[in-house]
Amino acid sequence: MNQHNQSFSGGVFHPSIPGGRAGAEITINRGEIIAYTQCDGQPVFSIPINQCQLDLGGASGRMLFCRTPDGQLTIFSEDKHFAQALDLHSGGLLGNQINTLKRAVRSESKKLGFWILASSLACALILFIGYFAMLWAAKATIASLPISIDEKIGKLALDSMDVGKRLDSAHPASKLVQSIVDKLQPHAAIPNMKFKVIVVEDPQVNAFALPGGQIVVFTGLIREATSAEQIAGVLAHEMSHATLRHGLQSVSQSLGIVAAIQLFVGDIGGLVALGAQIAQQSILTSYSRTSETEADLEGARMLHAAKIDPQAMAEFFGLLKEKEGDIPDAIAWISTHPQHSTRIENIKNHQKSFPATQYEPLDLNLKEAQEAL
Amino acid sequence: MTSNLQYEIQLRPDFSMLKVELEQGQKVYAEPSAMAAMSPNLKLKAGFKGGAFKTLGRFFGGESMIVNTFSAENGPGEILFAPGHMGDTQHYRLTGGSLYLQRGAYMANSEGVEITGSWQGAKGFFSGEGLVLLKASGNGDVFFNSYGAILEIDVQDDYIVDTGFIVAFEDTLSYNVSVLPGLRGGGFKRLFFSGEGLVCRFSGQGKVWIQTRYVTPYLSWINQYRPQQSK
Repeated sequence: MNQHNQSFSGGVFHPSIPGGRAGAEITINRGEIIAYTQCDGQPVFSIPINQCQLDLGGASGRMLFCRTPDGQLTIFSEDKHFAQALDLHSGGLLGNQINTLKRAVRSESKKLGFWILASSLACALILFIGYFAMLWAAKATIASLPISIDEKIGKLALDSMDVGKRLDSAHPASKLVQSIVDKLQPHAAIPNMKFKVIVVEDPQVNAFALPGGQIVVFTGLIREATSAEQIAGVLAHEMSHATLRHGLQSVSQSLGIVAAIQLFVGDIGGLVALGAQIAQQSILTSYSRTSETEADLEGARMLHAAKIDPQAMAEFFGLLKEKEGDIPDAIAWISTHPQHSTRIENIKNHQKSFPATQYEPLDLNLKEAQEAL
Repeated sequence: MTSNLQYEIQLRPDFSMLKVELEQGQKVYAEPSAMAAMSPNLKLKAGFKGGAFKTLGRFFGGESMIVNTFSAENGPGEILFAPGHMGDTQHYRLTGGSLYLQRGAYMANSEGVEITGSWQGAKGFFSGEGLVLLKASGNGDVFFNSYGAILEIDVQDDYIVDTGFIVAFEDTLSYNVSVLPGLRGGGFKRLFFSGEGLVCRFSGQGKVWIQTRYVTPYLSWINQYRPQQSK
C-alpha cells in the first residue's frame, strides 16, 4: 500500500510551539498520526490513532481536528483525503466518528438553508399582498372621485391626440353609431355620463374609449361588421371602460394614489396634463387584461339590458379571430388582451346568469352606412 | 521555501505605516495606491494576479482586481505602505494554512501567498460582512489593516464578536452568525432597542483580530455635524 507515503498539509496546536500553532506536513504511519512542523527546531508531534478524538470544524466546516484525550496536542488538516486515510489506517475505528460528524454539519447547513428560504418567501408574500392592496386602494379611491375629473382628462387627451380625419356628425355612419350609443346610454352604470362618439376615417378594425365617455370608432370597424348588433357589442364594451373608469385606474397606477387624490383636491394643472398623457398612452396600447375582461362582462350586461343579444359581441370577436388568428398560447399570458376564444367563452358563460329576455333586432341600416363610407 | 520579509510597522496604532526592506530580487505585492514612498531602484508592475477566478474573488471580497508588484532590482531597497484610512496594521505569517480577512482589510503580502475570495453563502448574508470574505493562503507574510487599533484574541473555546468589529481570523476557527444570546427569546423589542444585533460566535482554537472602532457608528455620529445644503 502506498498510503504510507501520503502526506497532507495542515498544522499543529501545542503549548510548546511559540504562538501555540505551527504549519505542518502530516503523514499516517504504523498507527500514528505524525506531524512534521516547519517552525524553529522543526519538532515532530504524533498521536496514536486509537487515542485520537476527532472534531470537524474550521471556517470552511471541512477541517478535521485530531486531539489527544488531554487536549494538549491537536493535529489538523483540511485535505479531503485526510479523512479517508484516517478511516483506512484505523481499520474502521474512526470511520463511524467521521460519518457522524459529517452528518451533523450537513443537517446544520440544511437548517440554515431552510431559514433563508422561509425568510425570502415571507418577503415575497409581503410584496405580493402589498401590490394587491395598492390596486384595491386605488380602485376604492377612484370610485369616490367625481366624474368631472374623467371628463377633464379625456378632453385633454383627445385634444392633444392626432386621431386622423373625423367624419361629420351628419354622416350616415356617424348617425348609426350615435343612435346605438343613445340606445345603450340609459343602461350605463353611471347615469349622468355624457357619451359622445367620434368616427375617424382609418382602416383599423378598432375603437377606443377615453375617460369621461368620449368614444372613437374607426371606419374599418364599421366596414368589417356584418350586423349593427356587432357594432353595438363593441360600443357596449368601450362604454364599459368609461363607466368602470379604467382610464383613471391606469393613470393612478402609473402616478400613484396620492397623485390621483391630488387631482381631486389641489394643484391640478400639471398633474392633469401628465395624467392625460398617460391615459392617452395606456389607451392606445390597451388596458390591462383584467380591465378588458371586466369591460366584456359589463358590456354584455348593458347589451342585455338594452334588449340586444350579447351574442353579437362574441360574434364580433369571432370575426376578429378569423381575421387575425389567435395569439399563440405561449405568449397569451403576457399579452394584455385576453385571447379571443377565452373572451367568447366568458361572454357566453356570463350570459347564462341573465334572466331570459326576448332580444329585439336593431332597426338600423348598416348597409347604407357602409356604402356611404 | 519562501524567505521572511524584513518589515517594521511604525507609528502604531492610529496612523500606522508599514515599512518593508526588500533584498535584491525580492518582491512584495500590495493593493493599489497603498505605496507612500520607496527607494528608486524598486520596479512597479501593475496587473491581475492569479488568474480570472482568483481576481474575481478578490473583487467580490471588496478589493481591487489589480495587484501591484514591487520588486527590488540592482540591490536592496525599502518601501512604505499606508492604509487607506486611520488605523493599525497587522502582520501574519502563513504556514500552509489560511487566514480569513474582512472586506477591504487586505494591504500587502509576500511571495508564496495567494489572496482570493471565499464564498460565505448564508453566513455572509446574515453577518452583513458581504457574501465573500477574503482568504489569504499559502506560505509567507500577509499584512492587513483595520479601522482603529487591532486587538489579538486567542480563542480557546467560544468567543463572541460583533460582526462589525471582525478584522481577520484563522482558518482553524469555525464561526456561526447568531443573535446575541441574551437577546434570543427576548422578542424583537430587545433586538431593536439594545443597539446590539448580529454577532459572530467563534468556536474551536485559533486567533481572531478585532478592531477597536467600528465605522458605521462613527459615521452616524459625524453625520449630525455635516453642513446642511443651502437651498
